[in-house]
Amino acid sequence: MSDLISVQNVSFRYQEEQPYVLNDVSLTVEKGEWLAIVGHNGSGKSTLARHLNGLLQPEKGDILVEGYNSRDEKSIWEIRRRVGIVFQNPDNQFVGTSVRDDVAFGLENNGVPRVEMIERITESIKRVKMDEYVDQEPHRLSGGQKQRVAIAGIVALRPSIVILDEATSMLDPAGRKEVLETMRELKEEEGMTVISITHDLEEAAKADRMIVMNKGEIIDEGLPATIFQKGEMLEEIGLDLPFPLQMHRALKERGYPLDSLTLSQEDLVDAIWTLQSKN
Amino acid sequence: MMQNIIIGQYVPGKSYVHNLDPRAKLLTTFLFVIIVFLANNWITYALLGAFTISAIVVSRIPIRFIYNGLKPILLIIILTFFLHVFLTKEGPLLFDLGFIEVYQGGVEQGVFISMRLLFLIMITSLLTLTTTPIDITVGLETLLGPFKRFGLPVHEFALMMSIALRFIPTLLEETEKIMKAQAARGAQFSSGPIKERLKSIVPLLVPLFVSAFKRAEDLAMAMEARGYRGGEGRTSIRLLKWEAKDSLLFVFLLVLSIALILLRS
Repeated sequence: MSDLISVQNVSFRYQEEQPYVLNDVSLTVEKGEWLAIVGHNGSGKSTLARHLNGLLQPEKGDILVEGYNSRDEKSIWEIRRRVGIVFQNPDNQFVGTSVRDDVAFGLENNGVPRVEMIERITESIKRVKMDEYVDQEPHRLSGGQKQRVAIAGIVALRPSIVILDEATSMLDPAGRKEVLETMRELKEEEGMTVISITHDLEEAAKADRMIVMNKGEIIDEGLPATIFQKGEMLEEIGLDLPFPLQMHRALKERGYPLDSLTLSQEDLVDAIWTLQSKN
Repeated sequence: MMQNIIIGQYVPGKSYVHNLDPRAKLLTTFLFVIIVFLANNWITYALLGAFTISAIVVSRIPIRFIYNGLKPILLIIILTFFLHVFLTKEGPLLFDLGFIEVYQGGVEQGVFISMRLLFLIMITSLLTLTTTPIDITVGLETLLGPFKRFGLPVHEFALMMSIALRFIPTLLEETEKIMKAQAARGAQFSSGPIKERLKSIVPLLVPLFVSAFKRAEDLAMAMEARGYRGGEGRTSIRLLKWEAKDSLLFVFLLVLSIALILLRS
């Protein structure tokens, strides 16, 4: 495993004399992993995401993406081609007047020749299973479909990293599932690295690695299973524990000997129905 | 609500006129607007009329769409007609009502001027009826391309246009949502005296503007994240194809112009 992104002692504030939104943050992102960055509103997680593709410049510290430093004017375009961001609001990131136009937007910006563009568009629209909607206008699409188009627009640029910046928080449960499944497939099949910025711990529970942020600082980092051991810490910084975990805790308080942590509903069901057979 | 706004009065179709290159249509319309003013006698107006009517027939656009385009200026056409009939005093006297005299020249002028207006509106609405707004935008962008050298922000205008077009339905949806939300709190949009109704628009416009600015900011961020850095070095997915039929139309219009110059008195 090699480091794709390395963030070195980054501090940032939007205006001078204001408190730091990011305070001496250091982290690395490895190739092919699914990294979840969780935190409450105002924890600095979205600000961090915007640093990772050069939309914001750190005040102190450096950010390296595949060796390109985001401080360097010329590197920025290289970085933006390598790191795609899916933003929160599905409507406000749809630039084109149709699905095809929108996927084309990033390619047009990068001066990809038209013949190659068409090829890449067809391919990436198929990847997110939107091929039936190529000529559809955005207002006829659901939120989940729009986010999938946004993903296709990024995939067409052949990036190494996709950042989901609260990309599912405005979607209904079905749309959320659509988007996450699409991303998961991309990760499995193409070896894409995914950074998911979220306050939904249920989503974070499925990640390979987790980073917890609070007030601009990284307060914990590790496997989801390890971090969820510290349920109280997560609740203290204003995050809601996933339902299976809450249930697990409530049962335990009432004296049921559930041992292993139940991060998903299936885990919980398994733990409950095997409870008696163990004794 | 969605239908009444000009998201395009575009009527989908596959006719000869629909399939023309938008550049050809734009240029033709432009040229037509100029040559309309060459006509000054019955034969030249008949020629222009024949061109206009055959263009409409070939486009297979239902007449009622053309009529809808004409409706707003119908009054102006009628008014100009009568102004000319009553005020132009040329040629032999046709009849005299005592307080008003009508001359042959007046009637002729009235007919000519209203036909001129009629043809102008018909041809220009035919352009918007057979071409999607986005095609018109792309057409204009390529046609005006050479002016970039003189500092005209052609690409920026085209991008602005296409983003505006893309957000019309989104903002309409939002307007409807805000209207419902305000109505639920007792706001009335459709009754009461004009002054009250104008006042009631304020609580509709303020949230709409606030959210539009928020959207603009988000969109700018998303565009930048996807590598947007202005028109330089950009390629385009939309390709315009100038074909034989486009040149044919152009030649036809040139012939029409020459005929008008030769036949005008």
